[in-house]
Amino acid sequence: MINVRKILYLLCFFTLVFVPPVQAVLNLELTQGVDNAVPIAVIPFVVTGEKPSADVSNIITQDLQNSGQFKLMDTSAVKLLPSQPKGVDFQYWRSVDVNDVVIGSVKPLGNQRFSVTYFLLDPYKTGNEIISTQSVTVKEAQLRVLAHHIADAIYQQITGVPGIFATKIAYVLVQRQGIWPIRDTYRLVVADADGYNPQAILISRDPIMSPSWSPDGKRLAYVSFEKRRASVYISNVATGVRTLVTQFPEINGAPAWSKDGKRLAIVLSKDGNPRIYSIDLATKKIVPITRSWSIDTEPAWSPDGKTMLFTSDRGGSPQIYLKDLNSGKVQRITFDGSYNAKASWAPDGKSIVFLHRNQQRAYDIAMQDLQTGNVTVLTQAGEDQSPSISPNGKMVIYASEYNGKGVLNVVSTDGRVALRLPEKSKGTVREPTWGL
Amino acid sequence: MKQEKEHLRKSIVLTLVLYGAVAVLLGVSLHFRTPSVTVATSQPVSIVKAVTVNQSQVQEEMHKIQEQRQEQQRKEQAHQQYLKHLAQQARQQRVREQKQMAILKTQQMKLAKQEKMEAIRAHQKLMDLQKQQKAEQQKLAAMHARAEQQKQAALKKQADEAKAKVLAQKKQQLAAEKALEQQINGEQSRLNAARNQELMSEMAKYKALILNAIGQQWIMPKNTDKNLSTELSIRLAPGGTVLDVSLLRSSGNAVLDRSVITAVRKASPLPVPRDPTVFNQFRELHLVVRPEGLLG
Repeated sequence: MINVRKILYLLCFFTLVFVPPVQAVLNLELTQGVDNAVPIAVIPFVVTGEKPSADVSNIITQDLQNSGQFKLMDTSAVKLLPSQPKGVDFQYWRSVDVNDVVIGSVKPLGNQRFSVTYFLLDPYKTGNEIISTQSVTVKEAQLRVLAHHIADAIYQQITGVPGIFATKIAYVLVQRQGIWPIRDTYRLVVADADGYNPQAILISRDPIMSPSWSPDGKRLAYVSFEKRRASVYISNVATGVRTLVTQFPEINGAPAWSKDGKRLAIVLSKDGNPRIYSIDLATKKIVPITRSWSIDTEPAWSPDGKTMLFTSDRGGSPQIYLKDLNSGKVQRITFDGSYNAKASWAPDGKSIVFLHRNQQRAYDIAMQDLQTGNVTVLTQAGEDQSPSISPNGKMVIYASEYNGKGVLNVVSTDGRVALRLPEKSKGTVREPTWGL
Repeated sequence: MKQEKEHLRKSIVLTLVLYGAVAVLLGVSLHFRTPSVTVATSQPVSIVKAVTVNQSQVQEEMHKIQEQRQEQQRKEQAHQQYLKHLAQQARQQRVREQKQMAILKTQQMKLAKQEKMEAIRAHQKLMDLQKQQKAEQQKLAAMHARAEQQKQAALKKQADEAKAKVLAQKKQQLAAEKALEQQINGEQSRLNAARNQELMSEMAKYKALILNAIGQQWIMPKNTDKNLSTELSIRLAPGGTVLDVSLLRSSGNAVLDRSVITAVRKASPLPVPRDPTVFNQFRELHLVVRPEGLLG
């Protein structure tokens, strides 16, 4: 009894006096990281049999590279291309600090059909490296689009934001033919976001202007000057069927879709000076939105549909204004520079992108945070026009001048990447618009 | 009270007795005046009976008688004068006596008054005395009580002092014991404190180093809700090699979760103290991650 007590006392004494070498859990709090590009290795896909026209892994690499969010690692050291995760030398990729590894394979199934498989791998999850994998069978002509979709999936897995590689853009291509008389041909073109697969949905001898994607990405609204008068049309991209929306005397311009796709905001001069109206596409009922003695144009419905941006010279110079559609209250948004126009919304409705004339009277693309009013100039070419923001809000496509003709450029909203889309056809390119 | 009443009765009796005495005296003085008047009127009656003798003789006698008469007359006159004188004397006497009586009376009254006063005074005195006695008694009692109290207090004080003394002794003993204990433990605790301080600063240093190492590798996913948080458990081998990273609590955002796990893996080996005892504190890390901002 006494012994037990003694032992207990001794125990108490020891626990009190000595700091025991406990294996306590140490608490840490991490709140700050870096804004670096994610290092990724896209190992060329294993292609068995006849090589298809599209290099899937190369398209994926280009997409990821063009997004500005990735640092593409050199894969030339890989001698034996793996088609399965077990063939990947993860130790090597860890040693070069790669975050993710992409492998895949393209197998011909005959009859111009291919089975494409890809793996997104985490080299640090030993024994459990697969983050995502997919096998898709497509026709050869669809390999390129499939590659864009794989790039989108990888992009989303790593950044948490949907990719825009498989989206479509539309623009107006102007081709000049003949020396005397000069004849211009106007085409309304729909292409992949990287500029590939251009397809004209309308060809006209007369100018085509202001193409605008419907929110569902299936239709394009635009202004056509066929028969020498301005009219607003809507074309179904898949079927080619088009509908006339307005054909008032003089100006019928700058169509913009409401977010539900049921109405168009249009600029009409039927009541005098150009003003903004809203037309219900089902009933054709027209309602005025602005009623000033100034020129109001380039409407843009906000993502929540409650407000509308437009350009007006009511303050003396063209500036961007915001109208609250419920209260009717109008406020000026841009104050930086003597010319701001062609505003469009970021998908979160928190910032806008627009054409901005800088101090040197050159035209650049700028972005403004609506809450802080801070303006970020994204481009410095001086001949930039018609900005349009990507559906994920990460990129802006715009028209610029290069070698005396209009080209398409893309810049990321964080300013990290800027690139020119490859020229797919002769001619000058205008008024790009980014769709789904 | 009783005593006072008795006193009052006594004084009343005394007063009555005194008045009685005064009345008797007054009566005596009345008797005194009546005989003085009778004496004066009875003298001439006895003188008329001794007269009548011959002619010559008678003459002589007559002469003699005449002389006698004259003598008698003289005598009578003298007597009358004497009587007058007496009467006057008596009157004077009476006046004197009256005066004396008055004096006496006043004296007696004075006396009575005096006696009454005296009685009152005496009574008063008695009362005072009694009062005094009473006061004295009370005083005495009070004194006694006080004395008793003092005695008691003194006793108590003594007891308390004794108690306090014991207590103080005990306390002193305890303090001494404690001091001894402290002295015994002092070296150890001082050693511990120094070691702890060293440990704490060493730990703080390595905590910061670890956070920086992971942060440099953590490519924060954009557009991530800043209110999200992820909790990781990290096991380290000596030298800082990350043995295992496990998700204790997901933020609900798989991209955020994986970005941090990858960052921890890439940061391996983490900077850890070489001292094995200090390193023991770093064997298991609990990392809470909040995507608040970018490293400066």
